[in-house]
Amino acid sequence: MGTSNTRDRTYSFTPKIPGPFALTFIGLGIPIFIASWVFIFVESQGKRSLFSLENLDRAQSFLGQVFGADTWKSRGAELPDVFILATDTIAMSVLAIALAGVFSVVLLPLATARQDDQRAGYLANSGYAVMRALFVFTRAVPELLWALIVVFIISPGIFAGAIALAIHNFGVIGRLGADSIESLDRAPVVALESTGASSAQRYVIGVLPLVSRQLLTFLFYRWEVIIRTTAVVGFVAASGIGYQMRLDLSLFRYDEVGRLLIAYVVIVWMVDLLSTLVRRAFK
Amino acid sequence: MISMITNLLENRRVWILFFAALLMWSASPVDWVNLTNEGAGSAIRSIVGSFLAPDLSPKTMGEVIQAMWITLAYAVTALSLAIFFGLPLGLIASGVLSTDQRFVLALAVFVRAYLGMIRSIHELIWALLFVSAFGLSPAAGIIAIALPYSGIIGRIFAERLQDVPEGHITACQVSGASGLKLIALARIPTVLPDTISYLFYRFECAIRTASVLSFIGLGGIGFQVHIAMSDLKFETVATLFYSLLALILIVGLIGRSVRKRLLT
Repeated sequence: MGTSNTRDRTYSFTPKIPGPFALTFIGLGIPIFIASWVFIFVESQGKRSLFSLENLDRAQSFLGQVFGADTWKSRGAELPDVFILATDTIAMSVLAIALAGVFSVVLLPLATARQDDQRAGYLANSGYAVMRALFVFTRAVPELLWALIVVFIISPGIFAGAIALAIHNFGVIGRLGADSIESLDRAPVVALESTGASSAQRYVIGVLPLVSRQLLTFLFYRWEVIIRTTAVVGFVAASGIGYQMRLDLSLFRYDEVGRLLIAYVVIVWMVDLLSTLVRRAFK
Repeated sequence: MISMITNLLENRRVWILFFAALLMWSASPVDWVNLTNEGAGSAIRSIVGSFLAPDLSPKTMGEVIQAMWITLAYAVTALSLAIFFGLPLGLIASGVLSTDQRFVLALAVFVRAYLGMIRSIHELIWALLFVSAFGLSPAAGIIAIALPYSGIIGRIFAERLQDVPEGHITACQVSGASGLKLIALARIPTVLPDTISYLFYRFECAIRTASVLSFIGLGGIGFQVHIAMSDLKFETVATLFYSLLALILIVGLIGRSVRKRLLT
């Protein structure tokens, strides 16, 4: 680099030789990427092409029926029905976030006890491993697949849907909560320990108040996600807007689909607004 | 009157009462007496037993690996579409393209509203609508996932671009950069590591979503779960769940090491 030309040096750019990690990453990533697109194109062969004039007509008539004149007319008892379905959807989401929140907050100390204990006993270590594995597993499987299993045990309805949603979100909130507890300053907990506080007392008095604001943010963030997902969990759990929408689509009652879509978007926006207001109040 | 409402909205006790009431109201329609199906006890036992001893026979494993590949292919194509459209839209929505041109700001507001709309509808609802409008095809499935995902990616990218510390921008301005150069040399490099690790998180989400495309009639892990459930083959269901876990763990591990490498 002993060149006298400063300009050259400022703009000199030595390309890094990719290391083994980058080479494996590129060597696997690019073939997977190409193979995936090839797969999609091959699979689409023989199916109706997505972009064709005929399809444009179909889409136009579909949209025309979903948001057509019939959508805004209530023929008899349909508008109240949509309202009841909407309340079912909201109730399912509230039960789901309540269950997920309570279980993760109660079980979080098991996942983080390893830190409190300098000696990190056998029990604390295995608690950590089991809880982390549980968080990962419940999180990896989507709500809908959990719902398929849950309806085997719980009779279909809003509670079955709520449990399926709660299982997945238990993993999400548990992981986020455990991460934020582990990045806490330990001083208050150590101080409590020196006064002889038990581990339960240390968690309730020392840890929870410090993470409560973050936990609240996570809970509201997940509630917003749950509200959107409730509609599709309804497919399996046989309740709420999603179930009715799927039924209406298969019966070609497109005007009802339009009303349900509007109700769905309104609920999503309401929860967004609510969570903004609450976060402001608890700031 | 208005100040009373604002005070009420900022009172924590009011909110706690509100949510307690909401929870009671939500729990009231549940039929607590007939909560479980008949024979729930034995169903739980056989499900838990299957998860402890999943079906690992070569025939099942072959099907599971094929299902994993289909799910991965849907996730990769959907996510690449979402990134292709989401990042440029996010760049426009951030409003950093110009400082005070009215047109650019109006465009930003418009794009932000569009991104908000497409992400407020769940990907499977999009999928159902697409299938009704266009008919069933893998393309409909991946576009249905790509739409809300581009909305989320665009929003996150826009927020990150806006939050770039002033120092980074000033440093580039001092050395003579302006306009688009500032975006390319100050804003984007600052947000790149975080954005890439966020995209890996979205990849995990895309795998989860792609696994349930069976609900509109496309193949993959969810489709095999459906079949296994209707045959009451819980051992196969367990294998499929674990295969989903494996896919997501691998993506998570790669994401974490890429992030580590980008930050050092």
